[in-house]
Amino acid sequence: MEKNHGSEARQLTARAEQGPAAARGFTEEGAQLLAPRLRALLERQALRYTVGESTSLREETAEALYNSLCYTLGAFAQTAPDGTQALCGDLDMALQAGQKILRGRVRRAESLYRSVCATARSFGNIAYADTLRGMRAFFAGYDVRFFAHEIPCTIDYPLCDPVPESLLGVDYLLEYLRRLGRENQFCARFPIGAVEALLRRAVPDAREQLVNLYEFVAVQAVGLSVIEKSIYTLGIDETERAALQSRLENEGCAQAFARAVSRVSHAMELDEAATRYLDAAARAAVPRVQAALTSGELRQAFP
Amino acid sequence: MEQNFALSMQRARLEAARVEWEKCNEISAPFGLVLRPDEIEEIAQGRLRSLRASGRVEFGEGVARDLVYAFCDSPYLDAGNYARTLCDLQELFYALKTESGDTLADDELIACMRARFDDPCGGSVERLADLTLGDLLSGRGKEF
Repeated sequence: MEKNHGSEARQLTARAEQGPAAARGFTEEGAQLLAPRLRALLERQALRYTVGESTSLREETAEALYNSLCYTLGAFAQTAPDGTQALCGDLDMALQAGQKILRGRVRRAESLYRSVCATARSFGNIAYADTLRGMRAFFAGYDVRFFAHEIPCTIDYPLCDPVPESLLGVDYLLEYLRRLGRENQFCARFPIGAVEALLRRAVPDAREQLVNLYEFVAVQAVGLSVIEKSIYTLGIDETERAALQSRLENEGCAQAFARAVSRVSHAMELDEAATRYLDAAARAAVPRVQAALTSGELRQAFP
Repeated sequence: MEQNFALSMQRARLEAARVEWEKCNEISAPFGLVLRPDEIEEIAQGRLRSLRASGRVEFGEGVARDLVYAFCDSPYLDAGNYARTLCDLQELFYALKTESGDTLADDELIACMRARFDDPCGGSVERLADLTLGDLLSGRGKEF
């Protein structure tokens, strides 16, 4: 083990230890301290990339190789039993171990992708279908050796709760699939006809729009739960809408939604992650619902 | 890439470049071509400028040895123009490397440049640079 690398490794892994959202690799301080060894590793990696046929690379390619190294070493440090010491030793070994970890995540992502595809309902939405189809390109083109931080596919379909941009490479895809799977499972509990009818009322052209389908279903269900109606119809008439308006004005939107989320979670037997996701969707909808209340156009929020 | 990391790489490359060009004197000395320390410094600095201008980063040993090995037997090189010509050749090399979209190996590109340097370019890097990439590569594989 080389000397005096303990503190640099600690700084290096500081961000990784904060959790998945911070797992993009190095803190800047850590990268500075590791610079000489990282530079040597980058040179070796560049020679591997050019198969020894070129001694120079375009800056953007070199930068991509560097970012990939940081991401891969960060993945290794994040999962090492002793994270603070993980990068004190041979960086080539650490890189290989990091690549092995990422390959495991790719396998998990493939498995999750198959399961998400099995439960997928696009309701005709083009972006949804294209995004799922396009993910095949990720598995065909993901380069764990040289460009592990990249996401070689187009992901257009917006999630209700977007994946943090700080996640890179396969970690981004895994998290996207987890969230999309959660949305799919929730929507699958409602009759297809009820969802289709809701979407027709909510968006003039839901097929062409870059809109999240789950959000419409989730917020509508929460609204129905506020007035203690069956959530599965996803339908609300004028009388019910007036009752909802009255309840929201009296109780306050945020409080009424929080209680309704609990009821929906209980009724649908949602697990903790799905409940948190629903709660986030309901909280995010509060300003929009409050604006609709103020303008007397609650139909816009609960079509 | 973090700025300081890039800077530290640049410093390391500058020192490595000086050492590489010094070593190249062993190859070119039999042809009466030897770089003085001030010329080595100029070429080393010129390499950094060329890399920057062509948007490239260099790794490993660089192309100094390959350039000298390929060009030192040119009848158009003498002690008076050797350093300047090398400086210009390395600048052209990096520019062509980028222009070619990195599709050529270092030795392949140098071979193409060398094949045109004496004839038709008469030892002029300027004339060599005037050739299109297509012209430069058109005789690829014939001369070497």
